[in-house]
Amino acid sequence: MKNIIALAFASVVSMVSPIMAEVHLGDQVPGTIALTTWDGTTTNLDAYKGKFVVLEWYNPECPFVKKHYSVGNMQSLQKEFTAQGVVWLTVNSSAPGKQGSLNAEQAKELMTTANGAPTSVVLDHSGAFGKALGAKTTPHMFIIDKSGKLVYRGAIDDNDSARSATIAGAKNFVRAALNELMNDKPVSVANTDSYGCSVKYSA
Amino acid sequence: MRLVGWIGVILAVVGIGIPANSHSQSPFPPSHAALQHRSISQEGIGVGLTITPEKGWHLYWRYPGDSGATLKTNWGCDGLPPADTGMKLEPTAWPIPDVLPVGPLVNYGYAHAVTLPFMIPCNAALTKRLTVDAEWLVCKEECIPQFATLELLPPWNKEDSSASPLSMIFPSGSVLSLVGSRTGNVASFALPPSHSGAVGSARFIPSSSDQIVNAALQKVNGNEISVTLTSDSVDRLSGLIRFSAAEAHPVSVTIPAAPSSAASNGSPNFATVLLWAFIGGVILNAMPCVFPVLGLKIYQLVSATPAERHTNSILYALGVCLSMLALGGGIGLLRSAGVGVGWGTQLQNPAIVYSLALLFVLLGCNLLGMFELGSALQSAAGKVRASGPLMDGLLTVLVATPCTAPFMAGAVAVAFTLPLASQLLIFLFLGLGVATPVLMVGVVPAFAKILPRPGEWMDLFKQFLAWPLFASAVWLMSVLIAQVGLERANGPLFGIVVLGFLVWLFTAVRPTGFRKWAFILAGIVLVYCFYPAPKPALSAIAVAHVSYDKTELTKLRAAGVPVFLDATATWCITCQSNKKLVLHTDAVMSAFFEKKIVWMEADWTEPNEDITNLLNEFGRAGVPLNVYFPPQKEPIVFPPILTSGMVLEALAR
Repeated sequence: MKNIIALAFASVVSMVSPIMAEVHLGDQVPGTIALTTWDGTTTNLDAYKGKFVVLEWYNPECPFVKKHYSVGNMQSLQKEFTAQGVVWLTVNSSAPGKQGSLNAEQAKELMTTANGAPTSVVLDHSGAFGKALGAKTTPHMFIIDKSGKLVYRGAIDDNDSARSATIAGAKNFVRAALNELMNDKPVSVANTDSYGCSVKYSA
Repeated sequence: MRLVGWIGVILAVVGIGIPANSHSQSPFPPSHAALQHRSISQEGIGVGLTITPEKGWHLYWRYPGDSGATLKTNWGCDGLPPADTGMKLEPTAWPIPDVLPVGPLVNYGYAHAVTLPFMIPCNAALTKRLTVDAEWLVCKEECIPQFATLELLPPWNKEDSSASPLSMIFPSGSVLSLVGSRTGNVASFALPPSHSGAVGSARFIPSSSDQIVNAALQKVNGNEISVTLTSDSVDRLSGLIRFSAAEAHPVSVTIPAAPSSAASNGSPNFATVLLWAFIGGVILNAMPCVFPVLGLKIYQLVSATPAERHTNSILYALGVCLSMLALGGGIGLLRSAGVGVGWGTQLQNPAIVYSLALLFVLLGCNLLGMFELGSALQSAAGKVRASGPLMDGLLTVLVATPCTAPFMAGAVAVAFTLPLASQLLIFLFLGLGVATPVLMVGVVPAFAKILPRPGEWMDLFKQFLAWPLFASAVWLMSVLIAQVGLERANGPLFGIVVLGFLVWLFTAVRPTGFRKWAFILAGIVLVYCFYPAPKPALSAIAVAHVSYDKTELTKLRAAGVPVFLDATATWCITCQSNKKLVLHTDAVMSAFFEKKIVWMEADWTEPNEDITNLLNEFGRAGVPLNVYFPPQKEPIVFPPILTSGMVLEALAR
C-alpha cells in the first residue's frame, strides 16, 4: 500500500522537470538572464546565438586566476579565439565587498593593464548568472555552441597547480574544445573538474 | 594550532608565496608544514607531512569539493632534487575531512592541523636525505597557495613522539557496499544497523565530482541518508560516510536506474499529477495511524442523524483540506525562505512525536471510558459543533503525514520545486482524497446505508478503537527512542505512565471549576517535565580548537604559551552568545592571532569527567567557564557573561 503511494509520488515527481540551479552538458543555457557589462550596456546569452560563446569566471585577486594572467596565458587564448569570431565573456561574480569584486572602471583598467582581449566583461554582482550556470571556481570555463547548448564545462587545463610554470606542460581543455568545435567535431573532453578559488558569492 | 606538534621537528626550509597585492590582510603564512619520521618497511620509508593552518583557515581533502585544490607533492631521495626524480605520491590514507560551507558552495578539508602519511619507495639503507616539494592551498575566504621544500635526514625508523594522534583519525573498516534507490534526482540508501550509531549527524562525502550536489541538504531519516545527485545518469556513489570528526567509513553505493514506468511516461500533464495526488490521499485512509481516527469518524456518523452526518462530514473534509493546505503552504513558504524542512518533518521533532503519543494515550483512555471530555471527539452522541469535525480533520492530517513520511520524504522534497500555487493544488487534491471516504458516507445516502445500525456494539467498538491508538502511541515512542536514544527516552516513557495516572486521579478527584483547569495545567506541566533534554546536533564544521587536555595545558603553560580556555556546551545558550557576540568577533580573534594564543576548548556537551573536574577546580558548577592563562602569570577567570572590552583588556595584560 505504501509502495503504491511512493510510486504515485515518484510519478508525480518524474512528471515535473525540477528547477535546477545548474545547467548540464548538452542542455540549453538560460539565455534571457540580463547581463550587465563593463561598458554599461545590458545583454544576454540569446543575443549571441549563432556564435560560439566562452564564459570565463574571473576574480583578479585569486591566485589561480593570476597564474594564468601573470604569464599572458588567458589573454592569448582570448585573442586567439575572439579573432576567429568566438564571443568571450569574462564574468566577475564576486559580490560587492567580497574579494575581487569589480566595477566597470576597475574591470577596464585591469583588462587594459593585463592586455586582455575578452569580448566583454560581465559584472554579475548578484551572482545570479554564476549560480544559474553553476560556476564554482575562478577560473571556471564554459563553452556554449551556436544553438545555445552547453558543450564544455570545467577547468582551463589539466594542471591544478597555482604555479604559472606548470602551464607549459598542461593540456588546455578550452583550446582543444574550441578547435574541435571550429572543425564541426564534437567536443571529446567536455566535462572536467574545475580548480581554483571559490566564486565569492554574496551567500 | 598544535604548536607542540611541530615545534622542534622542523628540519625544513619553508618557502611561502603570498601574492603581492593579496586581498588578505594576513601578514603571517596561513599555515605551516613539517616532515616527521614515522617508520621504515620493505616498501620504503614512511613519513608524515603535517600541515597546520592558522585558525579560521583550512586545507583541502583528496577531493576538495566545489572549489579549492588538493595537496601536491613531489618526492626525492638522497641528493636528487624532487624535480628530477619526479615521484608524485598521494598520501597512503587521508584523515577524515570536515565539511566546510563557503557561501553557497561546500568544500571538504581540514580546519585544523593534519598529518598525512606517505610511503616513499626509497631504499632506507642507501638514502641519506629525503626531500619533498609540496604545494597546497590554504583558504579562509580568500585563498593562498603555499609552496615548501622540506627535508628529512636519517635515522628513518625514529617514531616522532610529537606526532599528534588527534590529527590522524582515518576512515575505518572495509568499504561498505550498499544498494540505494532513487526518486527523481534524490538518491537514498540505508546504512546497515551496525553502523547506525550516530546516524543523526551522518553525511555522505563523495570522493570525486559529478556524484552529488555538495551544497544540497542531506536528509537523514532513521538510518537512511538522502543525497541530491548532480544528474540522473549518476548510478554509483563512492566516498565516505562521516559520522563525526572521529568516525567515518568508506562506502560504495549502487543506485539502480529509475523504474522505467516513471521514465517512459512521456509528458503527462498537471491534471494527471493531481489525479495521482487524489488517489494517494484516498490510500492514506488505510494507513495504520489514520485508521483509528477514521474509526472514530465512522462511530460519530453511525450515531448521527442524516442531517448531522451531512454537516459533520463536510466540516471534516474542510478540516482535512485546510490542514493539508496549511501544511503544504507552510512547508513551501519555509522552504522558499531557505529553511530545511520537508514532508513529515514534524516527525523529526521529538517534542511533536512525544506530544502525539501523549495525545493518542489520552484519546485511548477517553475511548475506554476512563473520563469524559467535552471535546469534539466526544460529541458523537450530542449535537454537532463546527469546531469538532474541523479538529478531527486536522488530527487526521497530523497523524497521516508522519506515517507516510519515510516513503514520501524524498519525493515530496522534489515536488516542492513547483511554483507555490501548483504545490498548494497538489496538497488540496491530496486532502480531498483523504476526506473522500468519510465525505461519501456523510453526503451520499446510498453509502450511508452500508453503515451498520446503532446499537450496543457501538460502545464495544468505541472501546476497541482505543487499542489501535495505544499501538500507534507505542509506534511513536519507538520513533522517539530512535531519535533521542534509549537513555533519553526513559523520561517520556515514564511520562506516559504519569499521564495515565493523572487521568485516573482526575476521575477519582473530579475537580470542578477553577480547580479543574489548575489540575489540567499542572498535569500538562508535569507530563512535560519528562521530556528529554534536547540532544545537540553535532556540527558538520570543525573549528580549529585544541580540545581540552590537562597535560597539554600544563605543557603549554610551562612552555610560556598563552592559552585561552573555553569550557562550553552546545546546549549552553550563554556559551553560544558569548561565542557569537564576543569571541568570534574580529577584534577578539585578531587579538588571539597577534598574541598567538592557543584556544583550548572543553566541550561539556556530553558528560566528561575531566571537564567536570576542571569546572570544580574553578568553583563552577557548570558552563560557561572562560579562563585566560597569560604566560608566567596567574590565570584570569572571566565572569559567565563576556564582553569584548573585558576579554581584550585581559589579553592585553
